[in-house]
Amino acid sequence: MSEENADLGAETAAFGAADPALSEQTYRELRLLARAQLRRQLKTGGTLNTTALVHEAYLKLGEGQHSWASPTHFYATMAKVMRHILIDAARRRARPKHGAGRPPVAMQELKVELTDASSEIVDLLAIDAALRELGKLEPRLERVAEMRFFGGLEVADVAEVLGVSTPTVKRDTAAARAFIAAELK
Amino acid sequence: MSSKLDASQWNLVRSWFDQLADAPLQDQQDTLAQASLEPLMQEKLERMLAAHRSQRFADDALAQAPELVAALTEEERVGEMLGAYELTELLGAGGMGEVYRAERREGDFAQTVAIKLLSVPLRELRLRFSQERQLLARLEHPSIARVIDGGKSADDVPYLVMEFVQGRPLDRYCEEEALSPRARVDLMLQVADAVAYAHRRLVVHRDIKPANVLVTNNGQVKLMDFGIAKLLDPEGRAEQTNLGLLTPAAAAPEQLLGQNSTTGTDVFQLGLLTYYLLTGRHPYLDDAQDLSALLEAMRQGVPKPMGRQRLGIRGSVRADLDAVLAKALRVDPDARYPSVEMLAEDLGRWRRGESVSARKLGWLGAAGRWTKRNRLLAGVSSAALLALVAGFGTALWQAREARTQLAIAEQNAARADRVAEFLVSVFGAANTFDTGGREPTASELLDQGIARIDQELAEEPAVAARLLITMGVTLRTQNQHERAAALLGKAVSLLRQELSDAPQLARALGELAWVEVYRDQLNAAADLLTEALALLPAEQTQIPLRAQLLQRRTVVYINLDLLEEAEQDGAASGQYYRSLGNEGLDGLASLESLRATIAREQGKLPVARTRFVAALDARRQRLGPDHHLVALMLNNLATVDYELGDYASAVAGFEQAIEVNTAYFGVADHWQHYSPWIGLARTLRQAGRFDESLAALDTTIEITRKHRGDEHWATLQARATKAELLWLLGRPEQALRAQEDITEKLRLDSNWLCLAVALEHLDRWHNAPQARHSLPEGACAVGENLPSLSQLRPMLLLAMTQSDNERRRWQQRLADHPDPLVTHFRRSVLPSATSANGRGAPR
Repeated sequence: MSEENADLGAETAAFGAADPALSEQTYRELRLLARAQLRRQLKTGGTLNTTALVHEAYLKLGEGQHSWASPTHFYATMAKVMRHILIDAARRRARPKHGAGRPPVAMQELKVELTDASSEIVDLLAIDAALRELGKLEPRLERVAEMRFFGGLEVADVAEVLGVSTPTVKRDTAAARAFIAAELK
Repeated sequence: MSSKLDASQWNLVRSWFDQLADAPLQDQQDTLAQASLEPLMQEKLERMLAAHRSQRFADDALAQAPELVAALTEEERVGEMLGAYELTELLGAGGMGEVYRAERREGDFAQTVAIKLLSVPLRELRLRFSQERQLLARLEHPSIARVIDGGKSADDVPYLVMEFVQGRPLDRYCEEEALSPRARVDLMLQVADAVAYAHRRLVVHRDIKPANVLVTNNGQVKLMDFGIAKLLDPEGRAEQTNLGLLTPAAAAPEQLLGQNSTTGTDVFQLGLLTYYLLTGRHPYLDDAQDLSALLEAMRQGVPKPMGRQRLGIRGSVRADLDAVLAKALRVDPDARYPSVEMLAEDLGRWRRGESVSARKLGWLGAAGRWTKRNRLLAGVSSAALLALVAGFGTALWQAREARTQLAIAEQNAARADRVAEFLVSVFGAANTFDTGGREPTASELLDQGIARIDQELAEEPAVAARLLITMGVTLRTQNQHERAAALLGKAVSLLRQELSDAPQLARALGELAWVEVYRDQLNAAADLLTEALALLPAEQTQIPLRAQLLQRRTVVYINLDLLEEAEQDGAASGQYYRSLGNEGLDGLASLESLRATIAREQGKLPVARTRFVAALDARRQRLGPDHHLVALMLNNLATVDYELGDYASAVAGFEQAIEVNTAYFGVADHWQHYSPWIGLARTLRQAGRFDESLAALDTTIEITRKHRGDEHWATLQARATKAELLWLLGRPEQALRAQEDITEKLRLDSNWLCLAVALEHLDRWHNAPQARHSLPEGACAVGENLPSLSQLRPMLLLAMTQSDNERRRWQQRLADHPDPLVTHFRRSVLPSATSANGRGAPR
């Protein structure tokens, strides 16, 4: 099994433990769905927008028979899925490409290295790390930031999911954002 | 982030932050000054407040990382393993899922496949998936992309592993190759044959459209995605097509109406595709409109005749084709052809100029059917049949010769007659039962003939042997070397038992030897030919056979690098051919070319030149000025001129070869154009005409790409040559573009270095060391002698990145080098290579 797959498995397992309501199967399907939506959004050439993506995904899913407590609950789950997809991708691409036993770097890969978004990758991975750090200090803030940043949820939606007031979510958002930005420095 | 807060420290920081976040800056600073927090907390709080003020960092992950997301969706699964396969490239994505190129990574053999990931969650089709997969895997037909394997990915996406097909969509292929209507119908006949085959195995396609029919560069049709439409349907509606997956313009009416799909659906779609290929439009609508307009038009019930379209087909012939397509395109499935086979049969009849069943059979029509048998002989004009008839001719010719030898004359003539009779019976009794009522193809006729030799000619081994030889030669011309060897081997053993007919045995051995040459068994071929020659009687008879056997052994010896022996055989064969007068001229021409090749291999260039001139004259005399074999001789002659250093003659020769090929083939980029173009490019380069050489290389690359694809060594070699030329001309940007991905593929050490230096030159230092590391030890070492450009190349390029002094030394060392490109490099490129210097690049 490759290093990459091992990573993925561990993350999925951790995710399942964190949210027992969500089966691994459902998680995988959501992952597929999010990827499909991403591709669609990209194809139509519009700007990338998490909120729109997550809403479209919900509509798409509405054709199936998933029973979610509310759309909001679904959005929150989707935020987690989005975070995993993006961070996975960033990790995969941040890994050195030519370790022992691999054939020499092909021109194609060189091209990728010349053009890709290494600073974005660094940012995303740092954001993720900061979020984990924040989660250790104050778990709710990690969830708030995750829903806002990776799921594009509005303040009111986050408040509904967490069962707290909107001013609390606003304060949490500001604190989480400042924490992450400070860590990124 | 050297030290981190603990939870209680965080609580404090958090409460201060909440309190101060929206306060004016001055208040924040005053309060913090009085709070006297621990330094760690103080610093964290200050940084959080600063970040809060500047509001830097976007709200949206996707907006934050647009390039990553783009790359993510592009290369989503590239690098993932599915079973034994590694996904290497996303080929396309559509409603049904994604298709990747993939390489087999387990087992001993390399294999490129296409993997289709179906975009429906496995849960929905789990029940049917493995069953359908097995059904699909059993479809084995040259025109159907094979399903090799299948399974589900780690995240439960079902996938199919399929034959990797490199080709163009049918409609694009027809346009780009500017195919005639008849040629387009021929392609559709291939498609229909494949669909009929699948129907016999109970698989319906249901999604026949241009994008699902690929045509490879050698004209082989490949039907993709068999059975996938059904597989993707939700359970319980197994025979209905999911509207969401349909391309309405390619759908049959029953699909648009959500009714059951049957084999009749494929009949409709085949008709539709044929119609579209011939006219460029839909039979019911002028252009693709919405679903309801399409349904409304179909309710009218009759497709528009192709009448006024630019078909290039006139009168009743066009009316026949209209009738065939109208019958296939009926809205009511029951009114269409009852099977794809019958549609194909009618299309085939139209193609052969016979009357079609879709039109009422009048008196003339009946007469047409009556003569069908005879037309079959004239109409099946494939190479196989021609070869068969040619082989038949040889047998007769040999019978004629035999008549001069009284003893065996009558017997042989009788055998030849028997051979002729048998061949006629193979055609005459064309067994349509085995082919399901369809006219058999030439190769099916051949198979039937082979089967009957055993059954019917057991008592007549001599006749059987002659037929086996004929059939074997035919199979060889079709590149079926294994089967050809089997039949010819059988002929040899029959004739060995007979003992009476030594020349016939010699002939069988000669043909078997030739197959062995194709199978690369050169030593076996040499032995067989030697045995054959020894069988011939001492007196000078069987002259044509002798000449041919010796000529073949010449070829074998050349390939075994036994040049002395080759020269002897070649000379002897030439004498025999000469003694035959006019009949020997073709043989003589090809022999002269062989003998020229021998001389060239031996390094006797002037002799080679004289012989190629003789071969060229002989070819021209027999074939006229514009024949591809004449062009070949021109090309070979020019190559020798090039090697002799006579560049002016070589350029003229290659150009003439190109002209002749263009005249002969009617196009300027036939594969036969490759040799003279690459030769011309090389000659121009040696002559110092670099820009013309570049242009010739571009043409060469176009030709190799078109005929052999991007991956073929000829393409890669031509591109590498171009890249090298550009580098040494001091155009690194262009060179890098020309180089692209060929470095890895060609695995040339010098190319790695070229890449490294070009990257350095282009200020991409961080990549250059990687390329440099892939160099073998010592490739950069500078020797004292500088004999050739190929050895010089890496050093020359390195020189470009070195100091002024170093480069001046290089200029001196290169002063006497004979290669014009090196001279150019020394004079023009090296002195101006300053841009690569003075950047303190890491070594």
